[in-house]
Amino acid sequence: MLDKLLTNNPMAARRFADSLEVDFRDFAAADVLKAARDMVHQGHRLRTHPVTSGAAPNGSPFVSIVLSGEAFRTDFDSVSIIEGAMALYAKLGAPRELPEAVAKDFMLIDCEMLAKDTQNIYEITRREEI
Amino acid sequence: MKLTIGNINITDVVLGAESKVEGGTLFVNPKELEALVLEDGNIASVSFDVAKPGESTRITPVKDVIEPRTKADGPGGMFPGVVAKVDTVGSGVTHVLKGAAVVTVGKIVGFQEGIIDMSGPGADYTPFSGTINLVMDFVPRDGLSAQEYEKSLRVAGLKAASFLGDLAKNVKPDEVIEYDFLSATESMKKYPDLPRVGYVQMLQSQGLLHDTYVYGVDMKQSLTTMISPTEVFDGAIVSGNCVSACDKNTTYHHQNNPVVTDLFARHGAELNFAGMIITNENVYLADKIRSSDWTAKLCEMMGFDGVIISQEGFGNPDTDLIMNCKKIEAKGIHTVIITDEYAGRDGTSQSLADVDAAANAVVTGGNANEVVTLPKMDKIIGSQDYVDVIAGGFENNMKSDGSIVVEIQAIIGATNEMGFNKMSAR
Repeated sequence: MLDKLLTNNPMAARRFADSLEVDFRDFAAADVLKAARDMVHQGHRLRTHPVTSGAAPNGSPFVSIVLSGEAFRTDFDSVSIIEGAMALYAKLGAPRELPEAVAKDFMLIDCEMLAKDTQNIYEITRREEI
Repeated sequence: MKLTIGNINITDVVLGAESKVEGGTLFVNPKELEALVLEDGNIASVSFDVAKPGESTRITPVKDVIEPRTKADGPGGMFPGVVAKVDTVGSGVTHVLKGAAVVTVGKIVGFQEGIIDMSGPGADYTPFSGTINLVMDFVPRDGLSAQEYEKSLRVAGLKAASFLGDLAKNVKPDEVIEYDFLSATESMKKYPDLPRVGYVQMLQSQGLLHDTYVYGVDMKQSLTTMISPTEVFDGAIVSGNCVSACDKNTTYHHQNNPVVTDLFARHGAELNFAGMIITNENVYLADKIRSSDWTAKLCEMMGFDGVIISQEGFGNPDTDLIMNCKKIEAKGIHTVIITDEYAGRDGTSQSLADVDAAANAVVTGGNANEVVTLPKMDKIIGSQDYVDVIAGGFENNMKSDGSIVVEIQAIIGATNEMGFNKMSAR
């Protein structure tokens, strides 16, 4: 069973269409976290940490979260992490509107984080040549 | 491993016809550096500038800061695996152009990088207002991807710092410092009664613009491992990391890691500096669990009595930090963590995204959300295009009088989590 990708990033939805079961939501970041929280309570486990995208956690309007495709008993580590992420977003406030070029950069960073770590787990990685 | 650091005090940097180090002045022929940098076809052009302490100058967006160094004697070369061939560094003699720095500037993506002010209130927050900075501002070739641009800039800065360091291979140092990292058996025999203290350095490794390289290897692809603390002085660890400006570790920070220098300073007197572990900060939770398991296991195998853990970044890495802390403490080993805070602009919110009762000794680099007004500078090196969207910037933060209002997270090194920053309660 493929892992699920819950995302509001259209670039990530396209890029991982073949490798993950993509659940694209045209939501604000905080609402994507809430959707992930609901899935966690249904037994899906977090595969990725929900706070990514570098800069300030609320700097990016895009959130992509990988969860297990399969539902198990509720995983309390996942509950704790997603609740912590929601509290963080609530504290820092919603990301603001960004110029289109900057928004695209955020989409790219969001994708890259998932892509590189996916490689780390599933592929034999290549060392950089001198 | 025994390493001698020879500091050559640099009191001026001058652009001119010849590249050399003479009488404390670093003379740089920009054409030579340009030729070196343009070997990489991905860079269309580069411009050079010098920024000195006290000047009304702002440098932004800053990608990396690098200290020029060279191997004057002994195996290996500076930045092994990236500039020099792969060979174990950390022994012999290393010459350092102390007081000079290479600063790389480029608009890789729209919201990254940070600010260095050479004077005014912003200067108080960054150590790089106190160095004489040779700034290299890069223009990429058309159509270059962000990934390729980051790599080109990263390598160009390191090549330039290595080139400048080489100019001082045969210059007599003004100050000599010796570091001797003993093997486990040697140090146990020599200091049987001193507590064995280790250092766990967490390296940012989340992805594009969030990467750190060790001997050229992307750290996200490594398991937690050990390194001689003397190796970091020779550029074994380099930054490929651009965010957030306040708590990213530039290559300069790695070359001058203050946890390492302070542990060496107390070695043999208060404690036995018994080892250094490097670990990563990845995005996938399985990686976080594996790496922190490995960190705790290595600490136990090394027989540490106490461990200092330094972090890089904020948010997601707080989880790695707390996992490391909890698991090491569970082995019966005391920990002190070095982090920074995102406690809101008034400083009253919870500081970390993850916490645990085991984290009972914490050193903070400061509150990244603290707001500061940076006055207009007479000279801008780079571009201020992004100071409103940069991490720590906000809408309408550029005022009509030319000043900008930012959170200090926009300033390079402001809340550094190795403790290299300038804020202190001391």
